[in-house]
Amino acid sequence: MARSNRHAPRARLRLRSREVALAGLLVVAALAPRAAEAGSLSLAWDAVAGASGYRVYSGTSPGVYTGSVTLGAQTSYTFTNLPDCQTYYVAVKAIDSQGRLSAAYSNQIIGLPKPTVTGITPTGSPQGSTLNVTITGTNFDTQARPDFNLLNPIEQSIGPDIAVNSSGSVSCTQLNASITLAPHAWVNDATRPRVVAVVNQARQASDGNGIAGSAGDKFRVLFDTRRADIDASGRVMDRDFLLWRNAFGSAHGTPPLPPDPNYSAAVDLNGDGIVDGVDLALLVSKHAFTCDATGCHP
Amino acid sequence: MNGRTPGTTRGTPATRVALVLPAVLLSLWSMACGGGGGGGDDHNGGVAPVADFAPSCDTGAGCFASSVTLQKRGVAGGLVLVDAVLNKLGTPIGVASFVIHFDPSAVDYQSYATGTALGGSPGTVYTVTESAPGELVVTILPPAGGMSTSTAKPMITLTFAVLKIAVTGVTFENTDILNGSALYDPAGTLMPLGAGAWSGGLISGS
Repeated sequence: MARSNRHAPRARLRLRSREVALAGLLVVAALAPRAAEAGSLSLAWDAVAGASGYRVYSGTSPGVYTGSVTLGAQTSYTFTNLPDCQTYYVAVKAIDSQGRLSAAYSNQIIGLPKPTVTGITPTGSPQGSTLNVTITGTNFDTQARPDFNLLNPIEQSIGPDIAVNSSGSVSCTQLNASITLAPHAWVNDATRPRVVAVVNQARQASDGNGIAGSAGDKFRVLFDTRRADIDASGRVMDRDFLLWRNAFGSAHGTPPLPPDPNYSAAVDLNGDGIVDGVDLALLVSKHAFTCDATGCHP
Repeated sequence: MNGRTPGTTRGTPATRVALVLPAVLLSLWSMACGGGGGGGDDHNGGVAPVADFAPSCDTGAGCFASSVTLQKRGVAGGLVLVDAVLNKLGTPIGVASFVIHFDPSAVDYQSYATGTALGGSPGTVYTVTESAPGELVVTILPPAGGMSTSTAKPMITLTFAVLKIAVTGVTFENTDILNGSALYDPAGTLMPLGAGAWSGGLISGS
């Protein structure tokens, strides 16, 4: 282990080395703090050949590290109980077998603790609508974006059904966004919650990085009653029921499964990827209703 | 997936999707035995009117061929049971839907019982909605592939209560058109029965 810069560990995001130079925060879902607790901040780095350990430095000003922790050969670490909305600066040095520290730090990691989501307003909207929402919580960075598709049962087969048109952090605790719900968006309820998450630093949700999930039913996609008029004839009866019947039991199917030729998103009224009795129940609930651009009415 | 079985769903309060024949029969038996009979308007000096039904097209008449007609199934006191009889034979029906009009000041819709012409229950979805006073919308959805019948049979039995001494027409509305009273093949193609093939009748209270 030499003292040269080339031996300095390079902090990185797990599995995403392209983002090394970015904030480098790695928030691990399993380490999510409880609401009353301060936040957590996780990071990982590339192993350095010959290193027997690492020292992780942290501080609240760029390049000024006021704390450190010495580790063994592990290449990841999580800070816990950090105050919310405080930006942290973190870097790592390697330690060789003789206990000597590398001369240089790794690249500096900058970021907030893991974001959390506590609420969203409004709390629901019909399929096919576009609206502005306000998300509240903590540790939203300037590039934070909402994500509505975690634990979405149709995301794997149909894809995301709530698109984020634009978003912007108002503060560390508030995020505004414009979203559009797909016409076939999955209609969720309290028993099948749709998780509202905030992803810091524009990272992808699939990384598991920077994500704050809320376990509760924070946002509901409501049934667009117009969809009951499947044949767009102006009234919910006869052919609408037949179209349901002819697609009954079909599912969208998750690739690489072949598509089900009987599946029709138009008949999958609750957007869960399968045409079943739930869709019939929605149809029956609007039976004989007349429909216009505003919805189907008794 | 929700495993809810077709035919057992519930709709709006005005929509009924269930088997109700036992309750109707029990009610009729009770009234025939002197029980029940309460409720409803009484415009006959304290005596409840007695119901009856006269079809516009008798089963033996020429109009009965290739038709959907209302026929009397039975009466009990102020209640009358009316069958919607399908006489379109040997033809798979994908869905049958019809709109019935009546004078709500004279007649009150009570309930329905499933018929046998389109498969009965389970498997066939029956949805009956009193969409407005005096308007009944019925949708009968047989199993996939549709159902056909080789003899004239009731698709559904409707029970009405007469509210006063009067004679009032019960008619099919908007026949042979989409969102009206029509039969469809399993592919969703409308199967027009022709002029006069949808015929109702007269409910009387005396």
